[in-house]
Amino acid sequence: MRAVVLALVAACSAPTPAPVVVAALAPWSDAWLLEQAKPYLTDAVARRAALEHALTNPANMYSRIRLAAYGRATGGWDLLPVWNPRSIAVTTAMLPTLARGELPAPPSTPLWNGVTPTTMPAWVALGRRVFFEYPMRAEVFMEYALTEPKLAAAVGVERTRDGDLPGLVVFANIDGETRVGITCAICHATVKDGKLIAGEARRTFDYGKLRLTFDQIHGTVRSADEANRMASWGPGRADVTEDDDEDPVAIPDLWGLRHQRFLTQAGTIRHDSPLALAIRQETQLTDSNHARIRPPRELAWALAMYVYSLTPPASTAPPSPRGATLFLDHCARCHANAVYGGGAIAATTIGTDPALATGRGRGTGKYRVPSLLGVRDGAPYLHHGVVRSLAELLSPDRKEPGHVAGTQLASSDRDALIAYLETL
Amino acid sequence: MLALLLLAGCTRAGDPADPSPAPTPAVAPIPKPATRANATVTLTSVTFADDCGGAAPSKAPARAPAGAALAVDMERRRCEQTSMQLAIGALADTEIHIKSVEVFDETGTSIGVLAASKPQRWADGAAAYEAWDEKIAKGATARVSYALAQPRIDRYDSRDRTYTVKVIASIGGADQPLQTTVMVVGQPPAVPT
Repeated sequence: MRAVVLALVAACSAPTPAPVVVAALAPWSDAWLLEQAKPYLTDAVARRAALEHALTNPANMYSRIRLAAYGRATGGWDLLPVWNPRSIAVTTAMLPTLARGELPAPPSTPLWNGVTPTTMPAWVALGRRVFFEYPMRAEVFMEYALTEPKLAAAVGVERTRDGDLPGLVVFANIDGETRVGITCAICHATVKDGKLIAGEARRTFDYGKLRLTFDQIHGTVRSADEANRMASWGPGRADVTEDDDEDPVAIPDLWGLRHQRFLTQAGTIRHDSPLALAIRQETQLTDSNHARIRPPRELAWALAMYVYSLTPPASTAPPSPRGATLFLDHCARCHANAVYGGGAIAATTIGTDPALATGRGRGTGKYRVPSLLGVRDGAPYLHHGVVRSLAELLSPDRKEPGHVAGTQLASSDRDALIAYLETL
Repeated sequence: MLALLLLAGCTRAGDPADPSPAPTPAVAPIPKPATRANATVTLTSVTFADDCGGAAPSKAPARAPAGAALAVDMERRRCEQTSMQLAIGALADTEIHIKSVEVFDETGTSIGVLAASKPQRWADGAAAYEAWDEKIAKGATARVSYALAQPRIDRYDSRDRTYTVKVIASIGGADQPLQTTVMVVGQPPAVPT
């Protein structure tokens, strides 16, 4: 079945130039990825070229910021201090202290020991630490939430049975002050039945509610427009774009990225080289720390390798042969790759809300075809998280426009297709 | 409090490597100084945000969640400081001072002079910026940061625009001009990632 799916032409993808391929190594194999680390870590010209190649629309704001500042060797972000933070993950044992508004001392040693990994398991292990421990920024809103347990629970601060609060750290910031920070895991890791699932979107995380509550308590005046927009995000959604357009997105799962040829829901980044993801991570950590530091590139590369390693929990759903056939007939033209994702498709073709695809922040005119790995747990659906279930997505009566594939099926076939999707 | 306006971008005006389709700022490039400076100074990044100034917030919180002191401290820590970062390489023992920082819009109109204060130098051992006396020894390099006053930019009027920041640095008594083109992004309610 999968072989047939793989054989289908990814009709939704625009052709892209081939990445630099090391001879005799299969692209995207672990060995190939290890080789690709060299140009990223050591060659400023290669990084700049990779950036320019990766940005699918150089005119959007995301691209312009990076083209102005990244990979310039003798200027811009390349000359920022390299920050290897002292950071410790928040645990339930720390909560009484944090609830008093006090912060435990950060560790005396930095996150990274300065030794460059040489094997994929070592890269992945280091990347896991970055994912859970490298602060994206100090986060006073979350620091406040930790003093109000009910608020923390309401905005998606989750706890594992082992007492971890993934995505939250206490760290020494770049001005020498101890702060609470957030990491990648605040959005891209969740807890179910006490068990950590790294890579799955935290669909309980309500950042808009967190900020609005902080504002209310602290008497901060915010315009009605801003307040209404943040209130409208709800759990699992936020507006992450650089522009002022109203285009919130659903936090995405991180499954199968090694097979996906575009990054971000709008396909902002062409991903035919791992340098594209490493640069994405490096510039994200730089930008979110207000461009006063940059991370060690080894940590950005490690983070990329860790993200590539993430896989969803195995499905326990029974097979659905009829659904598999329907998938091939009705879905696989776009969801064509090994992780049931694909390239990028014009927003006008897919017909969903075009605000993100046409926005000045990260717009490309297209939307990425998402991977369907773990789609059974991926609700709400579409890039902006407005469809509540697979049944609603495939319903002919759905009000939200776009993505009509599957909606014309008979009711029994829709059920069979959903049964198949739940196996992925 | 002006919510976060994150400015990024570090290229010199008119840099051919910048593919930005935005209008070229109508600010004339600053001519290079005729005399050789005691140090090379590069403007690496500028972030437009708040003017924290180290002062207490201007008004008390509506309700103190766990004591007034905690609430005030959180309000202070919410503040995001407007700043600029420089990379310096010293060719001789010298002192560096920032004489002026001026912001221009795309028409070349000055929209304000930002006071620079609180010089800090990156300390690798501490992994943090620390107070700096603005002196640098021959052969040394430094990554430094200055707090800037809050720019008077109406964030609802600044979307998708570029600004030019002109800096005059005094290096051993000689003026050296620096210039960068920046773009306002990341305005609330957006949460750039």
